[in-house]
Amino acid sequence: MGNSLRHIYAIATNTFTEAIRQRVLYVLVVFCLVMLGGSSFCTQFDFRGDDFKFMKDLAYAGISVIGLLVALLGAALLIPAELERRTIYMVLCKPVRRFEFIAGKYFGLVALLTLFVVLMAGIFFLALWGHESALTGDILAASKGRPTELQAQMIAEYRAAAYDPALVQALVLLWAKLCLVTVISVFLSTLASSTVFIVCCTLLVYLIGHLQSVAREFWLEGTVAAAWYTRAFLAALALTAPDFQTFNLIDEIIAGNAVLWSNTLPVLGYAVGYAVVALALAALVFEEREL
Amino acid sequence: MRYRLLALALLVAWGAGKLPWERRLAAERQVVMVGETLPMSYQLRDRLGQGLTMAALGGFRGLAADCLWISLTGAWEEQEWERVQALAEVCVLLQPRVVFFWEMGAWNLAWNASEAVTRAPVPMGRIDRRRHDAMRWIEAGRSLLERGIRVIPERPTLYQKLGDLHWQRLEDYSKAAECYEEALKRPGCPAYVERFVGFALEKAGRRREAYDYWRRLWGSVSEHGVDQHRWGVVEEHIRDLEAELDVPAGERLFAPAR
Amino acid sequence: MIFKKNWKKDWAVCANELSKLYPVDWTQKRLHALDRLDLYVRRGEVFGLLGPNGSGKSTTLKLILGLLNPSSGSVQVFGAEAGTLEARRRIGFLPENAYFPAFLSGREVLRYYGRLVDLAQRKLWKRVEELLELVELTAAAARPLKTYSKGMLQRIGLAQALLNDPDLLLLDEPTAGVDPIGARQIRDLILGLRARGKTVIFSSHLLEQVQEVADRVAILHRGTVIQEGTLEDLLSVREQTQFTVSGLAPVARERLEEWLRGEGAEVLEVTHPRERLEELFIKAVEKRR
Repeated sequence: MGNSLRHIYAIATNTFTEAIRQRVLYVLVVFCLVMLGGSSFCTQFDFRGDDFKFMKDLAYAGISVIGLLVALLGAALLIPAELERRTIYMVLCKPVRRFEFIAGKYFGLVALLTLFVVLMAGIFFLALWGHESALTGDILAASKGRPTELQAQMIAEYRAAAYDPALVQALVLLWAKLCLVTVISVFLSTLASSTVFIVCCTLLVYLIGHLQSVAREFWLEGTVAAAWYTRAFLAALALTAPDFQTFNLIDEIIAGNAVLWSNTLPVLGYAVGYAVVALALAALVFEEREL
Repeated sequence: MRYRLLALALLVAWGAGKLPWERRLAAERQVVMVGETLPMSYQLRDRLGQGLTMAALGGFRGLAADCLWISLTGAWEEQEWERVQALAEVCVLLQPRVVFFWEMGAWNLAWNASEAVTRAPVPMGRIDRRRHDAMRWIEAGRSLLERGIRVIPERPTLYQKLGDLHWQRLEDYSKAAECYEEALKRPGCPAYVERFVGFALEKAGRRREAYDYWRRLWGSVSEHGVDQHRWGVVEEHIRDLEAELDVPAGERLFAPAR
Repeated sequence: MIFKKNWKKDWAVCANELSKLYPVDWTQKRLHALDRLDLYVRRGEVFGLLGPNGSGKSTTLKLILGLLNPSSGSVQVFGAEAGTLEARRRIGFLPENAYFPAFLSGREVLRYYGRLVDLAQRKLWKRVEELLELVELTAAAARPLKTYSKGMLQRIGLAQALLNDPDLLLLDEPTAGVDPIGARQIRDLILGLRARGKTVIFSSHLLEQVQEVADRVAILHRGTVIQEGTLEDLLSVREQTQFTVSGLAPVARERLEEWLRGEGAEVLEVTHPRERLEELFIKAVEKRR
């Protein structure tokens, strides 16, 4: 057990180091800086009342896009490469269990994802703080420090929208969603050995995952008459794909609705459960794989 | 092969186990976002292009709605009101829980669009057509607000806006007062709306009710020194109504000015 | 074959009727990489696997490691089933054309692999430095592996195979692409390990090198062993004799040949021995060092 954890840790840190030392990553970092810089420019699209919705949407979409890139490409690039270059022999000829290799790869990628999300979120919160203090600063300057009732109301609204603690919840949810995409990509990497194939399949599961709830309700309710093969197809979708709509709480948080940790935690639990099962599946498939 | 079969069995078992879990999470989510129901997502699929649907369902719905809103701003500048209406409808469809889309969509229709058609040139002898068109846009805005209130019943903003609409566009002051009162029942309502109820009741000619309302408002706090809340205005209205309604001196809040 | 009760423990590796089929395509076509191969390697011996490309050398090594599962038959390593942790703990492996995570330095890569063979941190760091010393890479230890030459990579590969001080070393084409001096270092290393009682199995198609170090060899062809035995047995031509003499005058040579013919022997060949190119090369380079 202790050995297993040590092995997983060693492989995870190695995976993380490998990813960090790739040049592609710096391109992503630059891209993310440019995008967030762009988002503060885009605040020109001042949605009048300005609950910073546009900024938040853009930032979360940006983190989603970059996170998805990392999640989609991470496993799909690293695991087949390890097989193709046969560096995996060097690992698996040692007293290392195959599931340790899989888990190590996964947690290394999760570490990478975490770094990215934290980095981008940090920049986003800075930008949000800048925008908010500029807006309230303008109001305070115009009222010479003695805001009227309406101005005080506006300042209060700006501050509530900018420093909404639920934004952290949204971030954690987004991170969990990306970790789920990663685990699917890791699982598919144990089945296939072509990067393009793995990326495409993961993307497909990602998209299907957003329709899973529709398929599920359609199948379970069974109110609409459908041919048996349609129903079987829907059942297969519902049974295997994760329900990515679960993470739509992120939208609600950005829209400023009250989302409590008691709403968020079950979703996180679901993501953890799915990840554990997917890792187990990956380990089972990989156990039999000929190298 | 044996492990693969085992994996498949595990996947199906997990799948069967996760279904009730997913349904429960979906139900909990439904509580958070009352507006999003299943028929809505079917509707969404019908009304949007395939690519946009994917983006919307793929977690980028917020940004998609924002971009549509930016193009709505363009339509507004070009006074293309039909397009403004269509885009606003799509925005609230994509993100029904965003107050801003309902509120600003309604403002564009009931104020901007109706004002614009009132000023638009019409064929001779068809002045009634203008009023008809203006009314149509106001009704469209009202419908948007009322639907928004059904989706987001817990926030004051849309009630306040609906009150403004009844006051400014329909000149139905009693209805406006009702709306303002509804807004006040919800947390986060700006304090100045308190005074709007009184103003609306006065405008509606319901002076006795207005007087009672002002007195209740005055009595709700003990400290009236805060300049920000304009207690002076309230006092002025109470004095005027006391004079107008001829309230007996003993019952008055303020002694009549000498 | 009849063996005593614990016979499997006396062998470093024993493979019984080992077969391996690879699926070629979606149809049921299969490729026989190994066909009922029997292979026994004693403890403490240096064993050479010979054979042309595609004869099943690498497949055999992978089966011993458990990287592949046999289609039928079995392999034991020191009495344990191949591929189990118990078996892998005692094996060091250098794959063919070893490729390493190029983003790591020599020292980092050894530390990484050392953590996988369960060496405690302090012991590991010491071991890594020892091994770097052994393969003469201490000076290059901080450089990333992508700057290493082929020979240096092969040496790092050897070092990582030795991290766990294995009882059995598997080397797949250890000298492929390595210059003669490097090859000789590897040879010396193998001999040094044998002196310490370790078992070494290596595959090669460079027969001369095998000849220099192997105690026993097996020649593989199409997945089966076609020849097996000690070099003595396999190579000596008992009905011929070879002399190497210095200072023999031409007249004396003629008299000698005549005498031999008189004894009823047939002189097949009389030549001057030539230095082997490899030795010439090594002498020349070493003089310059």
